[in-house]
Amino acid sequence: MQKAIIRNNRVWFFAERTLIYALIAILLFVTIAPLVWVFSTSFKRNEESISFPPKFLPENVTFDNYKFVLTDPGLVRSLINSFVVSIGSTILSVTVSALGGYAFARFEFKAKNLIMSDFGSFHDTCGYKHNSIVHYAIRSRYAKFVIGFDTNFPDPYNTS
Amino acid sequence: MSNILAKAEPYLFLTPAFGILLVFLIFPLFWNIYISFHDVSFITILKNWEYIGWKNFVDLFNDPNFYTSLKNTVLFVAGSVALQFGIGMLMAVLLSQKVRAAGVLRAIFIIPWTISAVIVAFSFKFIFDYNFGILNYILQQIGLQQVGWLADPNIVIWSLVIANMWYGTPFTMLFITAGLLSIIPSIYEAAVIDGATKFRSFLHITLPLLKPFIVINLILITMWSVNFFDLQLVMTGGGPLFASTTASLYMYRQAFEFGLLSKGAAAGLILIIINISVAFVYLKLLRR
Amino acid sequence: MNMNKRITFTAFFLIVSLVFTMTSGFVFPVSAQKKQVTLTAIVAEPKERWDLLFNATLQKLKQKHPDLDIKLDYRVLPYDATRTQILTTLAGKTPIDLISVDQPWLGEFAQGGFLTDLSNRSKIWDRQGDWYQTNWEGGKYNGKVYGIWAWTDIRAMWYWKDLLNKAGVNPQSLDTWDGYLAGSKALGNALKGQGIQPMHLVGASHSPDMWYPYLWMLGGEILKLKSGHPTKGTYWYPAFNSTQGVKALGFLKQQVDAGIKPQVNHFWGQEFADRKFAVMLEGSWLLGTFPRQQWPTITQKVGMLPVFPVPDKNTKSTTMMGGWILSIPQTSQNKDLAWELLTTMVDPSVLTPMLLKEGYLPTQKSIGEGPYASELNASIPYYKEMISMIPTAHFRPNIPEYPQIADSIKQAIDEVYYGMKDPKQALDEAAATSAKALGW
Repeated sequence: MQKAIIRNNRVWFFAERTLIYALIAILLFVTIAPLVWVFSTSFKRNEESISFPPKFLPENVTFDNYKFVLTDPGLVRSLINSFVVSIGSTILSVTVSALGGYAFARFEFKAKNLIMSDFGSFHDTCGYKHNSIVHYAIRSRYAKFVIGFDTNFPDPYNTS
Repeated sequence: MSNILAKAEPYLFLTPAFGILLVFLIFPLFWNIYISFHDVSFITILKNWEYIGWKNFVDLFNDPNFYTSLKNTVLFVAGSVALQFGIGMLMAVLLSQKVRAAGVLRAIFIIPWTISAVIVAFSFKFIFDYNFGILNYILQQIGLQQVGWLADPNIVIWSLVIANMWYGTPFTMLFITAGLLSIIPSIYEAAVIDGATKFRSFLHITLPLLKPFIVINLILITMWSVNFFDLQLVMTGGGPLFASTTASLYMYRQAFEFGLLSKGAAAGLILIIINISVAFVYLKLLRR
Repeated sequence: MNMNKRITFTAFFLIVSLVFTMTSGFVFPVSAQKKQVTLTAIVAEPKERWDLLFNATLQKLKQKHPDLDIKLDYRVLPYDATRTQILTTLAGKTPIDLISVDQPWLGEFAQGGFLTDLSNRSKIWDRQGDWYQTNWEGGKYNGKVYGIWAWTDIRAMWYWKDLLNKAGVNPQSLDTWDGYLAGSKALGNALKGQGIQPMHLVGASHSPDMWYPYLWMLGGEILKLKSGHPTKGTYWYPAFNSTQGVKALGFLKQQVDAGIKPQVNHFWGQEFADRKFAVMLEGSWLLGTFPRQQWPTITQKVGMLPVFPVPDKNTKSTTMMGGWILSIPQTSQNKDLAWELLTTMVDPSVLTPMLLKEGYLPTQKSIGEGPYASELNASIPYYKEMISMIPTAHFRPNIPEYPQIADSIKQAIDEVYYGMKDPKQALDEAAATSAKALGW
C-alpha cells in the first residue's frame, strides 16, 4: 500500500515536472523567436533583409548596419538624452511618491479615508499586521497608485 | 504653533505629489475639455480659436469610422488583456514552481517589455509581412496557406493582439510574481496537511490571496491597451479599411494626420470616460 | 514635532523642491547663442541626399561668411513622421530654419501661418525664369511664394526584360489596359512557383497617388472650383467621382479581378530591385535602389516605359509629379541666412551632383536642358524619357484639406480592392466625405 503511494507520487512528480518544463520551453521559444529573427536581420544587407525566401542566417554577414548606427552623432546625443530623462524622472517620481506613501502609511488624517476607501477591502483581505515592513511597502505602493503614479511600474506604453 | 504644524504635516508630505498631479494631470484634462469645445486645427492653432460648442462631438458621432474604431478597440483590448493575463499568470506560476534557473528565465521573459514599442511594431511588421515575412514562409514550408496577417481586414486586429501580447505579457508576469511572493508558504503546507492537491490549493488559496493584485493588474493592462496606438500606427497605419484602427489610433490620426486637433481632443475625452468606467467596473469587482 | 523629525522633513521637502525645479528647467539656463549660428532643419528620408546637399551647401556658406561659425543641425525622418513632426514643432513655435515640404502639404502649412512668405525675396533673387512653369507655380499658394520646388520625380513603368522575354510578353503591349492585364496573366503563368509576382499594385497609404494618373488621362480632375460655398464663396469641390473617376477606379478593380494583389507594405522600389515583381509602376527614384556602379548597364536588364497604361490607343498617357519643396518656417530666427541656405542648395552647381547621384529630376531648365543636362543625360539611365514626362505630368492639389480628401479616396480604393463596394458607390461616398471636409 505504501509502495503504491510512493510509486504514484514519483510518476506524478515526473509528469508534473515535464509539463512545467515543456510549457516553459514553449513560452521561451515564443519570447525569443522574434528577438533572434531581428538580431539575425541586423547582420543582413539591405537586399537580404526582405529577400524571398527569407533566410534565417545571412549569407553575407555584414556589420554595416551597426557601423551606420554607431557612427551617427545624432544617436549618441539621443542615448544621452534617454539616460538623463529616465534617471531624472525615476528620481523625481520615487522621491515624490515615497513622500506621499510615507504620509499614508504613517499618519491618520481626514482626507486619508477619502482617498484610500477603495482599498479598504484590500486591507481586509490582505491580513497583514500593522507594523510589518511589507505592509508599509504595499500600502505606500497603492497610495502611489491612488495618486496616479506608476513609479514601480512605469508605463510601458509611453510614447517616446 | 507646533500643533498646527503637526496637523498639517501629512498634507505637506503629499504636496509634491498633488502638485505634479495638478500640473500634469488636472490642468491638461481641463485644457483638453476646453479645446474640444473650440475649433482648433493645424490651420487655426496660431490664430483665434472659435467656440463651436458640441460640433466636434457631433462630428465624431456622425463618423462611421469612429464606431468601427470603438469596435476594434473592444476586440483589441479584450484579446490583449485575456492573452496577456492568461499567459502572464501562467509564466508567473510556472516560474514559482522551484524551477532551475528561475531568475534567469524571468529575466529572459521580461525582455519583450523592455524593448521600445516602435521597435516591436517594426519587427512584427516584417515578421507578419505577406510576401517577405518569416511566418508565411514557415507556413508555406509546412504546406499550409499563406495568411494575410496585415492585409486581411478580418485577421489584422488579431495580428495586432498577438504583437501586443508578446510585448505586454512580461508586465503581468512581474506583477503576479510579486503577488505570489507575498503569500506566506506555510499556508500551503497547512493545506497539504489537510489533504489539498496542488490544483485545489491554487484555486482556493492562491487565487483569492492574489485577488487585489489581479484586479490592479487587470485595470492597468486594460487601460494601457485602450490607450496604446504605437503598434497599430507603425504596423498597419490603421488599415486596411480601418480594420486595425482602434479608438486611440483614430484619435491620433484625427489630431495629427488630419490636423483636426479639437476633434482629436473630443475623441480623447471619450477615451478617458471609457477608461474611468472600466476602472470603476474592475474596482466594483474587487469589493465583492 | 521633535527636532530630528523637523530636520528630516525640511530636508526632504527641500530635496523634492530642488528636483522639481531642476526638471522644470529654471536652474539651467537655455543655452546661450554665441557667435555661432546653428541652422536647424527637418527633412524627409532618405538621408543620403540631404547629407550630400547640406555638406556642399555648408561649405559655400562658410566661405561667404568667414566671421560666423555656421552649424547645420538637420533631422531626417520617415515620410509620415516628417509631416506630423513639422506641424507639431511649428505649432509649438519652436524655431526651425528649413523644412522639406511635400507638394500637397503646402496649402495646409501656408494656411496655418507656418511658412514665411518668400515672394519678395524671390523677386530680388530673380531666378524664377529658370524654373519650369508648373514647378514654380507648385510652390505658390494664394498667389504668394511659400516654397521653392527643388527637384521632382515622375512615376513610370519598370520591367525586368528577361522575365518578360521568358513569358513571351512584348513590353510595348503593356501600355494599354487590355495589354497590361493580358501581360499580367502571361507573366503569372510563366513565373509560377518562383516567388515572383507579375505586376505590382499599390495598396499602401499612398495608393491614391498611383490612381490619379488614370483619372487624369481620361480627362478627370480631383477637385474643381464651385461657387456657393457656405463661407468661402467659391471653393474646391470633389470632382473625382465623375464618370472618368469611376472608369479609372474600374481599371484597378480589373487588376484585382485578374489576380493582381494590392501590396499593403511599400518598399519604394526595393521590392522591384529584389525581383519580387516583374513589372512595377514606381517613381523615378527606383533607380536609386540599384547600386550606382550598375547604372551604366542597367538598361540591358531593366526596361522602362514612360507611361501609365491607357484605356485605348487614342488616349494620351500622363503621370504624377512629386518631389520636394524647400520652405522657411515663420518661426525661423535666421531668415536671411536660411534663405541663403535655400538658394545655395538649389543652385545648379550644388544641386546637380546630388541629382546625378540619386537619379532625381530637375525643376530648373538650366539643369534639365541647359549646360548641366548632358551630364545627367549621360549618367542617369532613361533620363530623356523621364524628362519627357514632365510637361504632361500633373500634381496634387495643395489645399489644407487635402490629407482628409486623400484619406477618403484611399478608403474608396480599399473598398474596391476588397470587393466591398463597386467603384461608383465607393467614389460617391468618398466625395461626400470630402465635401464635408471642404466645408460644404
